[in-house]
Amino acid sequence: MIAQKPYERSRRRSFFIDKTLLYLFSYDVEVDMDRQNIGFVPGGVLFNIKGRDNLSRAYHVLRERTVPGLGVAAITGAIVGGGDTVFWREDDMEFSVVRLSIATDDGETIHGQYPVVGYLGQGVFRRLVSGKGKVGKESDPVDIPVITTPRFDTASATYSWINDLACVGYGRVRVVRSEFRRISYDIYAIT
Amino acid sequence: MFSVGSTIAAHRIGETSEGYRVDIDYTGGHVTTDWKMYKESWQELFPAYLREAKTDEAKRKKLAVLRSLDELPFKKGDDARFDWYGLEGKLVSGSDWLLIRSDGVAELDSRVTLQEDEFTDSGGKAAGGALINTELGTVVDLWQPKDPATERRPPGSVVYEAWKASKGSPALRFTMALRFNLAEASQPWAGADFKSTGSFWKYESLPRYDYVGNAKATVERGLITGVYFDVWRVEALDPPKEVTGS
Repeated sequence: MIAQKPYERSRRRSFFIDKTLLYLFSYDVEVDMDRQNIGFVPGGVLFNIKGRDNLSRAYHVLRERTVPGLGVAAITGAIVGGGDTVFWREDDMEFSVVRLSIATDDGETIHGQYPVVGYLGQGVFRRLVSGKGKVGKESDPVDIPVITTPRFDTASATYSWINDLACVGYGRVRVVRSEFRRISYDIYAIT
Repeated sequence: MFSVGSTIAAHRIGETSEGYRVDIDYTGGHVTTDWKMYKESWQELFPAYLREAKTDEAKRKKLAVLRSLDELPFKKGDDARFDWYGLEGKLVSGSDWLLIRSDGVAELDSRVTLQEDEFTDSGGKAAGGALINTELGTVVDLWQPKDPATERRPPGSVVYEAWKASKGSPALRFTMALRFNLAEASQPWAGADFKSTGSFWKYESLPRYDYVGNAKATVERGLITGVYFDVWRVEALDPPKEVTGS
């Protein structure tokens, strides 16, 4: 191993670059039970799900009309046309690619697309796919934590502020009887 | 390989910082195989196969099948093991957010699901129904004159403004790149939801190659209302020639 020279070490930072998370909005997607099971593909299984348009909503958790910290209009509306290609990997990881649109209550459209990463839990892949030992009950659903890094895009002047933001979402996928029932996210801007 | 046709519901979103957005929903369509076209395209490959079959046993066997194409009763459910059994089915769903760039070029990046028709196999059991995930991407030059030889291309911004004002071409021709994803054999412990359909093996070559599509779209008042495309497999027959420096 080659020893580092002292001046090379001193050039490296010993502190983190500043960052903050600014809460923007949340949404809950009620999942359509009629999913498209593609089946086994190399490394896991693949299926498509979509949201139920008339039941899925975007909202501000504190019911604010503006986003504190930005002073811009808060986002409230319906989630429409949500489509999600989900890959359950054999090592109990979940990866998916999502596209959805938010039809805001004032008649604008915001597009969002994002990758999702989540850990299903030890041995859960096999339970979900085999159908034996169902995951989650109606009375005791299982919430799987997921992380996403969405980007949003809109033609609306009211919400154009969201076009320029890098976002992160912390979510939960509610599973009942091995079926995705609800997907919820809190979306933050990374500033 | 096969052809796909679908009606499309499109609606304008508006101008974003990247261009003009149009939402597209594939509202349903059909998938079919034109056997005449399939056979003709394979027969074009005969000279290359003849050369390679001299040393390649697998190709020699395939050639033996190809030579008797005219006699083979190509129809769904045939037991004869052949490269491609055709695909008859429907387009179940799909969507895209079309972006019309300010240089007069549209970007497509669609996700579409196809489904094979269900049928009864020779043993009398219900079969078929395989789902196929399709990724479809392309760029489309929206300036499509009747006679490119005599008409000069206007600046991209002019084409862009024309499409924004719903004055674009009534039809579009374009090519696209396609990739497919579908199930392989399921694990023996898989539950009913993830059991492979009995016919999945017929399409096992689909995820192993690149494909191109030759497409045409109908347009009304600047919005796409339907699309039809033929899907072709891309196969390199000859190895690339080695490039040597001078």
